[in-house]
Amino acid sequence: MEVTPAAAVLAFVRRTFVGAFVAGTARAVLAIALVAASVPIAVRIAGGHLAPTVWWLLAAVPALGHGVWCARRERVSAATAALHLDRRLGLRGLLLCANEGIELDPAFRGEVRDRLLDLPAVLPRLQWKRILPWPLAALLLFAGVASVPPPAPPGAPLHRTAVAAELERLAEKLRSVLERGLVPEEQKQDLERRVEELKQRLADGDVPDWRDLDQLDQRVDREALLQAAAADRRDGDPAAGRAPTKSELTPEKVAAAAAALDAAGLLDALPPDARAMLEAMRGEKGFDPSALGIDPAAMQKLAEAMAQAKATGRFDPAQLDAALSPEQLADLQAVLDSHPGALPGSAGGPGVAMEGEGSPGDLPGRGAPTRGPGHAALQMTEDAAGGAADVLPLPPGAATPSEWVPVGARVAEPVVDPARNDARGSAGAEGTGGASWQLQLAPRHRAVVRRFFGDAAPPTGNERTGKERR
Amino acid sequence: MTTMMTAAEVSRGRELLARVQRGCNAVLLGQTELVDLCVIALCARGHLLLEGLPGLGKTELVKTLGRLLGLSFRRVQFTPDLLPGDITGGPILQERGGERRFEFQPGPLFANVVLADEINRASPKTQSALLEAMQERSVTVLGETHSLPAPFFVLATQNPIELEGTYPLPEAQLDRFLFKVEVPGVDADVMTQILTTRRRGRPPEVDVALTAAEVEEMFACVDRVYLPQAVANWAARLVAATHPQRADSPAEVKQSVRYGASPRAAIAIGEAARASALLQGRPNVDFADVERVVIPALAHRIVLQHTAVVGGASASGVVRALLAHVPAVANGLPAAVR
Repeated sequence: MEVTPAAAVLAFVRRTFVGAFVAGTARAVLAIALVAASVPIAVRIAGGHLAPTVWWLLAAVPALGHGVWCARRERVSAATAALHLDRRLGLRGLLLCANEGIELDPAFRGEVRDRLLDLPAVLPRLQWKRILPWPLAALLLFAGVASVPPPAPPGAPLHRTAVAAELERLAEKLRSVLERGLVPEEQKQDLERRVEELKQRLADGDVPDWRDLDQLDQRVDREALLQAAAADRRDGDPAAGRAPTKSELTPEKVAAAAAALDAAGLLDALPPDARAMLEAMRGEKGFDPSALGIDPAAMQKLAEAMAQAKATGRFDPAQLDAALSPEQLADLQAVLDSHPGALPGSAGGPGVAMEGEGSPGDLPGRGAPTRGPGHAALQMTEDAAGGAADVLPLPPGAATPSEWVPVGARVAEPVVDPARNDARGSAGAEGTGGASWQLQLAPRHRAVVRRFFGDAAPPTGNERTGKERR
Repeated sequence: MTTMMTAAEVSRGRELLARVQRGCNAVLLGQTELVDLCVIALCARGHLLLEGLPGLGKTELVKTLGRLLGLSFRRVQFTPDLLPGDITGGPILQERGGERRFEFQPGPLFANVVLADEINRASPKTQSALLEAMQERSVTVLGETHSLPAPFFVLATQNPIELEGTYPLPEAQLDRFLFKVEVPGVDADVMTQILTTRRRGRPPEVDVALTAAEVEEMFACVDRVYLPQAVANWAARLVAATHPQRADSPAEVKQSVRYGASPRAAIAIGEAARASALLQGRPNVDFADVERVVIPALAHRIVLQHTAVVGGASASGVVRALLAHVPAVANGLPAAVR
């Protein structure tokens, strides 16, 4: 097929246009891909995550636009294309003449036609090895960055591990409590079911809240306390020769005492908060000990309130004797006996609460300022032992917030290093006053001022001369 | 639409040129490039300045050219005491029919081919008398202008040594020469050939190669050679780059050149390139033609700085630097394509 000089020049121009477009697009792709790869990295460093979306394809628009811009900017004219083509075909200027509209002799026209048969071989070729590597590398980098999965929620593994460890600790603790027996079957099954439920949630990926673990821990502690109390009762050595302790106070006793007071119509003698507490315990069959047993502190408070009411004379003994049966009286007496400090005629005397009751070895705080009646559960450990400044390692597996990792706690005196304000003219500056008056006085007057203030200068031989000079 | 030379015209023009070329080569052995440049200069109707050591055949070449073209030939040996009137001619009192009057007696310049031998030995006054003759191809004496015969060529020679008592040509006069060609020496083979073929160095007799009509035909052929825009643009950029004031001039020009070439240099390159193209049998000028003639056409039109001359720089070296610095294709292709 015969190729005319004009068609050859047009093909050359078109090829260079495409080449410039591809090169410009590749350059833009390189830049955009690098930016697009750095943005997710920056977001990831900042703690976020950019998920790939279809909208990211819009980045191709500026790349193509840059390619068009480069192609238009680097577009070669027909004269330039003819010049390049003439040199590539070895036409020695004949193509230039033809492109400028010169009519060639048939002999020269034939020469041009023959040479133009080699046109495909001399058209510009895109330098793919020079154009593509870096943009492709940038695109691969971008693809790699975009395919990075989103980060796990911060601290999740640590949180989960800590919860699992704490749950395992609680399970072990529960096992040790249950091994001693004395735990009601219903409570035992309930606790075991609760532990299994929490473990199942953890296995399903739903990490339980610390609140649930704390509640479980408290219930286990309560069962352990109740177990210890029951063990004491089973040993058959209740308070022989020693003062009753709060461990002997059971919910059943308090409920029975409350029922006795209710039967005697003396509940109004109790303080309002104690009354409200008892009303909350009231069920269809009287007072429910289980409702009170959940909170040993509340039980203790009720018992104290009853003892206090009796100690202050709100209970009429005659009324009690008339209204209560001997069993009810025994129950009420058992509760009141659990707080002998509130009873008249006891060791502490009427109206005087016992403080720091207990054996000296068991109950620290003896002799300390009053902390109110009853047994204060005050554990003076390191402070009392003189180890306040020591590092206190946390127990292993302790449930801690996930945002920080404790390595230890230290109690120490604050470092106080006051610096003296020696700035010029400040209160701490030396010689401020002296400098002031010395600057205000003429040198010949200083000796007079010193004498007046008692800081007499050593007499010199020329004092008189100085006075005369004045 | 402009019509280019036909192949027949190109062939005819090349054949005429080849006759002159063959005749010169028969006389001057081993100097084909020099002969080509001389033929190109003649076809371009430019004046030629030959510079070389004595005995290299400068005068013989010019004499041969004159004989081959069948034109009138005069030789003027320039000496310091040569006066302008000695070459231009002057009024002489003549008595004709009992009447005395001044008649203009033409000098040796009134010939088609004038050999100005050792032109740098003449005084500036005499040298300047050539200015009008070379440029205007006319001579003005006592207010009367006399046209020189056409064609008119000045073929001058000068000796680069024995400079005492010489007057270097001024720039204005150098600019009138189309080419300044340095005549190279010959090697031993050429000298052997001279020794064996020529007794006492006498060159063979040559006949007239071209008639006056053929010379005109040859000039017409040269005039029809087409100069493309791109090639003309390259020649113009080369000349423009000789000026050190231009920002795009090469470093060699900025360091060595004091004054660049004039537009007359670009004209000379264009005309010489046309003749070169015809000598190569082409109807149009190519970049190679410009490259071939640019050194003899540009070198003598560039004024070098004294420091550069002392440093060993040469005008031809500067022109070579120009060729290396100024690309033939002003606008390159995008970097992405090859």
